Amino acid sequence: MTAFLRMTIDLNSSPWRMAGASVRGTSHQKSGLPCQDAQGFRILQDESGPVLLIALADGAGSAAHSDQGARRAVEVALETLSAAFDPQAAEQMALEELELVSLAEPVPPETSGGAAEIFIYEAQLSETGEIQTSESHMDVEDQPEPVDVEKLDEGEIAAPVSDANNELESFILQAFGRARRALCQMADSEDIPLRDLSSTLTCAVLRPDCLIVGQLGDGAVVAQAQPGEGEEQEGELFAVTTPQRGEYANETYFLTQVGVLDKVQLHTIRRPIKALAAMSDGLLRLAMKMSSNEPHPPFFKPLFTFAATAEDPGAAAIQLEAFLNSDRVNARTDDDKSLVLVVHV
Amino acid sequence: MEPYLLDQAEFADNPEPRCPVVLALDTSGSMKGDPIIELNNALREFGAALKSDPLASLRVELAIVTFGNGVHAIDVKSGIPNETPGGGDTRSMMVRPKTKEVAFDAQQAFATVDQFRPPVLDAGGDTPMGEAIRRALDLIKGRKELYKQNGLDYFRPWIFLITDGRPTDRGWELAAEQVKQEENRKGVVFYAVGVEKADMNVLNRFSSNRAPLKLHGLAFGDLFQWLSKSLSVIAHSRPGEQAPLPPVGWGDIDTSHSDE
Repeated sequence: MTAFLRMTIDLNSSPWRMAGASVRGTSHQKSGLPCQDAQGFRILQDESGPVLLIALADGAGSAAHSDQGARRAVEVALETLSAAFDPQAAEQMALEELELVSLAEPVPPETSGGAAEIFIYEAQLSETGEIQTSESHMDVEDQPEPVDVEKLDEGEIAAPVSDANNELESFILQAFGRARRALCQMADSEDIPLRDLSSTLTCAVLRPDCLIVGQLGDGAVVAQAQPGEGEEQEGELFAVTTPQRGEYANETYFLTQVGVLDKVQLHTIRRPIKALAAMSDGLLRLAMKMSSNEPHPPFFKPLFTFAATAEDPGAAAIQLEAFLNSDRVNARTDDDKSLVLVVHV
Repeated sequence: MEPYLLDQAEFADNPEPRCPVVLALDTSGSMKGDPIIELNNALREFGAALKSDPLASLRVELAIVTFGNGVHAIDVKSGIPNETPGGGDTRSMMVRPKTKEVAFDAQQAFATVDQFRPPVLDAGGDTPMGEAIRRALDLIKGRKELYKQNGLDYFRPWIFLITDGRPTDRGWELAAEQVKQEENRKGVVFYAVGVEKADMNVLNRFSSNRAPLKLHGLAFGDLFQWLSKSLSVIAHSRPGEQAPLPPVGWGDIDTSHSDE
């Protein structure tokens, strides 16, 4: 493992401009529930350049404490992803896993409300291009198998996978496992049912030359590629993730469900990204053509331009909040809404 | 920073997710008189209640299958316009409207609430309940296909059965098994309601998740008020919501099953 430097640098010296906000929807305003969406980001630096970590979580409908569940999931996700760039923290985490592995017993589904569950995943891409995950107890020395890349364009040759991106993918998967475990521990210590903390989770690692995203649930991540050499002005806008649905409109996956870690989707885009948006499902009907899961460009373009001119993320967040809480948005959705916008300038 | 840019963001147009509901209604001879009158009144109020919920209006889709003198899919997209209170066309008050039928076709049989015209049903004949259930299941299957073809999301469909007797058609046991299995597969939500002399033991065969309910007297109005509120809850629900339905005040779980 190559040595990484970890420094927190402020946004202004990074290549990105950002704006992010989560607001309570009108349904929760009426019912007196808090906003159940949560988000967070961190900027780090490693020897190959700046790294942006993003996490976004959407607490389940009217689950009593899902706002806490969402916040905790975001916290743990960012902590896990940060460890990818901090050898000491990574080692500490691995030791923690080993300890828990030796102590834990398998828990039958009905009683999963309180116990900690350990899942350590290796991601493997099958020949058909499907991501498969397998449960295993991973030793610190084990390296995951090389994972093939996701192609952006027809005919684009997949570059051989570097160890660094491989490890990032494994940290993303660990973020989901650790977030789930944290919710189980929280349910235990607060003596509340695990399902009251139900939340989706999306996390992303953005570097100047690639984007890796993990998602569980019905949020969405949309990206715009940098135009290639000699291409016209704007790169293609595309959906990175697919909102996960059961058969029915009011079903999705949450961290608190048994066996749900198998459902985590992992996407690696090995191209420089011009702009990125992550959102919770409250905005999907406004931002995407749902039947084909395509981003609606007239929604995203003005928003990306707004984010690009945002010099102060704090003030930008306030303006974004006002937008998310505007009458014209609330006419179309009564759900909580989260949006994170990142533009490479 | 340019906040006006946020004003320029345009929204995508997406169709609403749908909640398909088939009402399987007993119109056999024993329903003549007060029962069918009460049922018709309740259907009218049901339509009005759902229409007053803007989201339910766009999302809930209704189909009516009657059984009595055969099994029929009722045209719920036309018929008399809703009467305006204290006025309206006197002619329509004098002429008894004819209830039209449609083919058992998933396209024709369903109407979204905003297009729903409550029919006025007649009673007579026997009780081919088994066939009605089979038809209801087929309509739902067909509707799901249409949704998938058109890229529409949908909620779990409902079949709501109301009867005041017992099935007279052969092979109803098979239909009962079919709907029971479909419910266990989470393909449908099934409610059975018995009225007056309904055979509750028979109705018990149609579901393993939910006991049939016995209506208090002819309180169809209360029943359909509950149903409209429940469908509103579903229409508004999002992933992870417990979506509790309102309490059933209009009927009881029948505990008087004999050992059959």
